[in-house]
Amino acid sequence: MPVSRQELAAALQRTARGDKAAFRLVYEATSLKLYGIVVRILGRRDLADEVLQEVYVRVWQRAGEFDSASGSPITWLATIARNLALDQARRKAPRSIEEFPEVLELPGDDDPAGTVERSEDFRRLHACLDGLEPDRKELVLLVYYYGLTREEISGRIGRPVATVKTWLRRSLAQLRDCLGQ
Amino acid sequence: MTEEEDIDGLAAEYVLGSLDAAERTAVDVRRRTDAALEAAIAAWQRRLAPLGERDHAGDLPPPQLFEAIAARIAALPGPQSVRGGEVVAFPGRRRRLAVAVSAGALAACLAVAAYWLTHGSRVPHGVQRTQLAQSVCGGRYKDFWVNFDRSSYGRMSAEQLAGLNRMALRAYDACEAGDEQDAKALFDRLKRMTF
Repeated sequence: MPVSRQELAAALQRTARGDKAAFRLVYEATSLKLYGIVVRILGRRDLADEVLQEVYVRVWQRAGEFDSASGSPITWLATIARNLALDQARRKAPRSIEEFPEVLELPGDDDPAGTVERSEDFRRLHACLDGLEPDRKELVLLVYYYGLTREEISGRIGRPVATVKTWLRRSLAQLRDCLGQ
Repeated sequence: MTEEEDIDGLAAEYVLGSLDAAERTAVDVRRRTDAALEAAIAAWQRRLAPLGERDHAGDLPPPQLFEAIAARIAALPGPQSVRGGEVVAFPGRRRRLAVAVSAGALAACLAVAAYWLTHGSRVPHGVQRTQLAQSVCGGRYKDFWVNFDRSSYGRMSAEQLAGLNRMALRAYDACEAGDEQDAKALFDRLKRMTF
């Protein structure tokens, strides 16, 4: 159910005032995307169902904290979903290497509510990612999209955990410097 | 490595998602009182947010999920912005300790929470329901501290903080034991408290 950024922001504001119809609109407009984030990080639908419930309970409780001036509503919602999924992923048993694809496939663009400014942010970030060594870029994206820990990455690429940490920190510092913010 | 670089690297990895359970919990606790870390996390969330623009939508969530969520929120007092306040006076209010002592007590409370959240779910396979209950109850316990007004810490005595945490742990215990009525009453009462 595609809605514009403005409509979604307005629905969150109404949710903050206790409007359950607006809350339902937020759910219908965003649950597909947020479920995708949570399922990919957790790799299990049973846990993802529980986490998605927690995500929207938190959205209901904290909708008043969303500030449209400091970011898009979908980014705010995705941050909540990622954090809860990562928290849950860390509570379950470590995942085996086989649970992840050998080759990282970048997700396609499914954001109909994108704006020029956001698209520019996206292009800038990807230009900076392209400035990293290819394996470091894959490392960063693998962690972001699949929520892998340093230990899981270490097992995947056969390098010491300390090396993975160094690579990640240097890559992220390079990204920060490239973005200049 | 300077302290500033260390904080920025920690924040970057926290947002990226590469920290293990103990490190994530430690950051969750530390960011409440470390403004530099909180600011660094916010900056990294802004920098990496565009990656989410290409986060593929997956399968539809189960059709009954919204009904389950609706039932959950029906039992809640309402969004924060419309939640009323209730002033609660704790005994022993006369002896106010220094802010540092209160911060220490808070750190101890949060360390307990951190331990529960990272170690509490280490149960054998085959008891997934228990894990999920711990996860949900741990989430409610953590929610309470996340939503708690940070500006109160400096005003509260160590005894008040300890009392508050004892009540939060009772709510967690009731939740995990399946006593939803007691858990809800305690969590609701905790949410109404102001200092």
